[in-house]
Amino acid sequence: MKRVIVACGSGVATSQTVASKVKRILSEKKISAEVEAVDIKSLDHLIKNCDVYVAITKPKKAYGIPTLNGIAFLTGLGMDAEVEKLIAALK
Amino acid sequence: MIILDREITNLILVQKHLSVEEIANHLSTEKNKVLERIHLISERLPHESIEVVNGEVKISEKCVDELYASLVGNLSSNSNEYEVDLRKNLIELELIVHSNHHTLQTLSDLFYVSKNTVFSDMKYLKEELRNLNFHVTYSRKDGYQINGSEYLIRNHLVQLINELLKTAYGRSCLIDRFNINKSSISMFKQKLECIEDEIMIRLTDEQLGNLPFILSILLQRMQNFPKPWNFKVEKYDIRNTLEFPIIKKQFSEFSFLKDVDLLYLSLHILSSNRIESALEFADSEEINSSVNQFIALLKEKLAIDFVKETDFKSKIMLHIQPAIFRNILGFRVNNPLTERFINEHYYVFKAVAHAAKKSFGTILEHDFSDEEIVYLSMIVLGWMYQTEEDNSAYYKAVVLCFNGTSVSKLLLENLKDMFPDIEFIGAFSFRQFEQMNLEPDFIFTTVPMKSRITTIIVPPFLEPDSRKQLRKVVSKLLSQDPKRKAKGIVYAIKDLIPEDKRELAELALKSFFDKEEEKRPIYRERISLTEENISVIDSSVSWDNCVEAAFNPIISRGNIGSDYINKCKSIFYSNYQQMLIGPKVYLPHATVTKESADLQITIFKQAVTNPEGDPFQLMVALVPEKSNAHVPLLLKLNDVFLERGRIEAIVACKSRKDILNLLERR
Repeated sequence: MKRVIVACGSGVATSQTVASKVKRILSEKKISAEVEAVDIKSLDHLIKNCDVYVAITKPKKAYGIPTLNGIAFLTGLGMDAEVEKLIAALK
Repeated sequence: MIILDREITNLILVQKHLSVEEIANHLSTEKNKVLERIHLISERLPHESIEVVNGEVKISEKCVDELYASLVGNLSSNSNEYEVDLRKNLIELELIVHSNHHTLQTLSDLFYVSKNTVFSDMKYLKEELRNLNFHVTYSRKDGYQINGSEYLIRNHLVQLINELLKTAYGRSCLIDRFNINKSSISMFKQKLECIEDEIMIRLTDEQLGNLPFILSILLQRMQNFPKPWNFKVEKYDIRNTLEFPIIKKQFSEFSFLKDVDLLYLSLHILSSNRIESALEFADSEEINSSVNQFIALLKEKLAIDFVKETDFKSKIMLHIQPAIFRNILGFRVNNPLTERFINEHYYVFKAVAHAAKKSFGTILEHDFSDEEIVYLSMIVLGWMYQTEEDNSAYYKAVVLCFNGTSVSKLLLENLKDMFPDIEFIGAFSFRQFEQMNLEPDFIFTTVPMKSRITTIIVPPFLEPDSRKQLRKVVSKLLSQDPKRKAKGIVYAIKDLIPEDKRELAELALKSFFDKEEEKRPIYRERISLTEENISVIDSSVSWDNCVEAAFNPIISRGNIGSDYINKCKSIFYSNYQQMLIGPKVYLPHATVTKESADLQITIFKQAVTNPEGDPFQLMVALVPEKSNAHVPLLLKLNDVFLERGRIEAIVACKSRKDILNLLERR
């Protein structure tokens, strides 16, 4: 199963909310994937087996997988485009 | 150890920063029960204890060692006896490594025991060392000294270090006593990795973990006792090997090392267990035919055929090469499972000992020790258990072990036998696993590790009791987790569901079980909003003061202190652009330590302006909860804030009651 990783500074609020939102979107679109929220310090270690990275903080390096703007999911600005990218990456 | 204690210990080891409540929720039990068990587990540890501060579990590194030892069952039940052995080993090490002219007084000061105790330790020590052809002398000028052949003293030193590294917290003692720190460990590790790359071998994780300690302490002996010495290995010309110059190069920065010292260091690296090797052994033909004979004899003696015999042979070859090296050089190998293995699998042990003597007798200086035979027997027994693969399993798992060879192989076959529902992908070292990108459902590991995959700690040797407990732990895990339950059910009725719909069926079942899970108490304690959680500030507030203003009501409720606010301010003012929960709605927060969850929605009637000059009127001050109970509320608020016109409507409300209605009306 494909995996989506969401990371923010602390991993307790913003990334958790975005992760729940991404889960809900995927479930509505009947796409099966695992979504996990982590803190930014654990990202390098955990991103290895992931297919999509939803970044809340500005990514400091490229991980070689599609990277989405997580803030769009919170503010709604540009969210549709990010959802499209997400679906394309998980298909 | 009862199963609940085992599960609690397991959880504490795998996730070191848990609260008592989280443990209780995880194990579906009461907080008080967990506290009581933690207290009892703690009492059984010889020195350390598990601390519970404000509901948070805290353990020191030494405590980790002791907890792990209690889990795998190598913690001596008699802590005094354990302490005496530990001190005796440390005294020996001290005399061998440091040239400090020790007297009874200095040793008594060093180990915080009376002179009488040191005297009695020295008495036993002298006797033990005499049996190993060493003698302990004492003079006013030089204090206590251990004398004997330098080669044997160094071998003994390595043996002592290996023994200490296997005990509950020998590692911490070595770090304290011998000036070993993280950077020296990582420096030696890097050197070993360079050597691995250049001579194309891969050492086991255990060896890579222990060798930095061994090399670091050996170097101290070499520097502190620079007297000339020599040794000759009759059957092997190490100087002319491909490996020697590569190893020598890595130690060139230690100018005090003489050629003979470098030769000695090389021997240790070459006789270390490895899990991969691209090089052939010097006498490969001789070894090759000996291994063939060994396998033929085993087949005859045990009346069996080995599945995948070529793989079996490679495994034996890989193990036998450094084992022969150790034998020729007279190095002893540690195998803590020797006695237990011989008791439980006596006939296999006898058959392997017999076959090894007949097959390798001409190459070896003397017979293999029982420890080496047990290592070989574990590979053999592991292979005997192995059967041709069948595909009836629907969960995947791996076995990870520091000693990536015989121990994990036997463990793997035992686990396969115990859990036919689980497909075991293989047994690996931690380093191998990291590079493999596998995605198992479970990791069975012999030492604690952090992973988002469910890890189960198992003792390296499964005795009937530990098997029973392990079965219970796994069956509990399988029945509690919605994802695994769904996977199991879909597998059971897979013939009734079209193949392309199975994943969806699994997902639907998972959501169904997720909902069931949500009914459990932990989810019922979600934060719900009242008017108290809403503040309306009419006066003008500056950017610098807005966070404090937003958190004020939470402080009044006593749910946080000024430390938390300061932490939030420092995080928020440098990361505010990412700390949002809606368009222009900021969410200052920090990770929790001991606070209770709380949330405050603040409406600034006079817009606050951020450093970019953008005005905003809403802020949600959050004190999150470790179990993420705040997340559903945040998701709900985000949905509200994203509705067109809703933020404007909230700001325009005349009362807190109206605001609450707007937030709840969805």
